[in-house]
Amino acid sequence: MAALGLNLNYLLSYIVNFFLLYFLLKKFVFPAVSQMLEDRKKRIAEGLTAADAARREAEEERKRLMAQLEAERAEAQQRVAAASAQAEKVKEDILAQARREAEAIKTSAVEEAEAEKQRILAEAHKQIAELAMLAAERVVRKGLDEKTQHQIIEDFLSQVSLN
Amino acid sequence: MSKLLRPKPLAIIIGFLALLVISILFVRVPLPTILLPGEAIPGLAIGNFKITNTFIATLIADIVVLALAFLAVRNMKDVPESKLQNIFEWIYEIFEGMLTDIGGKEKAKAWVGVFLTLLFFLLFANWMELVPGIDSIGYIEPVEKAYVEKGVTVGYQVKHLGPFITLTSEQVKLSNEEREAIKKEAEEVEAAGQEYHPHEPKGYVLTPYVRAATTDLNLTIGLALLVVIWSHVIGFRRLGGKYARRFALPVITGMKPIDLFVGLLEFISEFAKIISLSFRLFGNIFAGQVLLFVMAFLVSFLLPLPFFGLELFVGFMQAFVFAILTFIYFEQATHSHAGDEHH
Repeated sequence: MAALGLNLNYLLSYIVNFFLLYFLLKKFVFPAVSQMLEDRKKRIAEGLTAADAARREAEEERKRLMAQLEAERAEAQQRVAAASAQAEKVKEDILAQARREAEAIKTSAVEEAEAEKQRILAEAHKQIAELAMLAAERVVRKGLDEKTQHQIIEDFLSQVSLN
Repeated sequence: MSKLLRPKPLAIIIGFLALLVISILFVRVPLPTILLPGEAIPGLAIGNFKITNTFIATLIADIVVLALAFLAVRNMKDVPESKLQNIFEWIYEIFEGMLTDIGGKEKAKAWVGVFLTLLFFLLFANWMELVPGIDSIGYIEPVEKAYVEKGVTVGYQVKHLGPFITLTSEQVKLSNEEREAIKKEAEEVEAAGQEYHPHEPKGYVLTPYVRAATTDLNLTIGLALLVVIWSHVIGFRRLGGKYARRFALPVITGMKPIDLFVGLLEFISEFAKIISLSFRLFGNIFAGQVLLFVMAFLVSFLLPLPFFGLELFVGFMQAFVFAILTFIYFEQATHSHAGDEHH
């Protein structure tokens, strides 16, 4: 044993030495490290959970906004479509109205023209008759020979045509 | 190959070769005295307790471990600012995870402290053999005195360099007659109640002030004893009387010859644990130190380098093996013997 240097004092002193070292580390160092790691783990977990929740919330918010946007867009589209349909209708109405009015104007014009024509024709008939009456009167009053008669009629007619 | 022929690498290679040649031809270092026991340093004692160089190394390892550990946990921050805290936490987590894999969460938590204390302490105790100059700074005493006290028979001539004394590589060997004469003289002087001091020392021996602590069997056996006994304490505390069954199996089962044999084996294996733990550690580190001595003795430059790398690895590996085996022993002590309960 002596050749190996074994000596109970040294042996015990090393054991005590190790115990002291272990005690100091166990008392002051390891709990601190372990506590720190534990705390950090907890905080990271908390942070991740919070981040997850936030992300989920944001996702929901985004979806909600998207839906809202979509609804608004659809509504706007609908409104535009409705407006354009209405405009189309108004246009059609206006056109129809215009057409109708034009038609009416045309019709009334034609009718008026026709009436005028009839009136003029009637007038002409009346005048012709009057003139004929007048001419006949004159003819009758003079008692004219055939030659003069012809002359008068001739004159009358030329007058008429001149009219 | 062509890369090596460029001027810079070429110069480096030539420099290395020149160093090698110089160290082989001109620079010789003495082979340090290789002794198994830790060497007591003269004049350094607490009462009867002589302080050995391995004991000094133990204290240094303690201080280094404590200093690093306390620096690491001093002013700890949730977001680590010091690298030391980072490294320490990293190590703690890695090994706690490893122990959890072996023994489960509860046991890992309970014994990670023992594991890490062993690992750190042994790591620095082992690596102390790598500190340059550790084996060459020490006190110098006459070879005659070293022979009487430790049986050293080879000394060296000394040279004075200013206030320092250094060994040269000139060997002085004590012949058999000289040894006889020295022994006789020393006995006479000590019989007269005085301390033996040779008048004209033929040579001198250097004993380093610090020697890697794990090259002292007292430390390794002490630690091995401690952890094995500790494992039994754990066994008893966790299993109570059941724990004793593994050793007292023969008594309980009525002394069947096979049970007697099993109990005996179980008993022997506890001693084997102590022996294997302590001598594995001691043998590896002691041999590593001798290896480094011899390499430096053969070729003082370059050649020792790869062995320093090797010893760095061995130092870590042995510390780790000791610590992990301790944990495994602790863990095993908590298992009641297979099948015992159902007999």
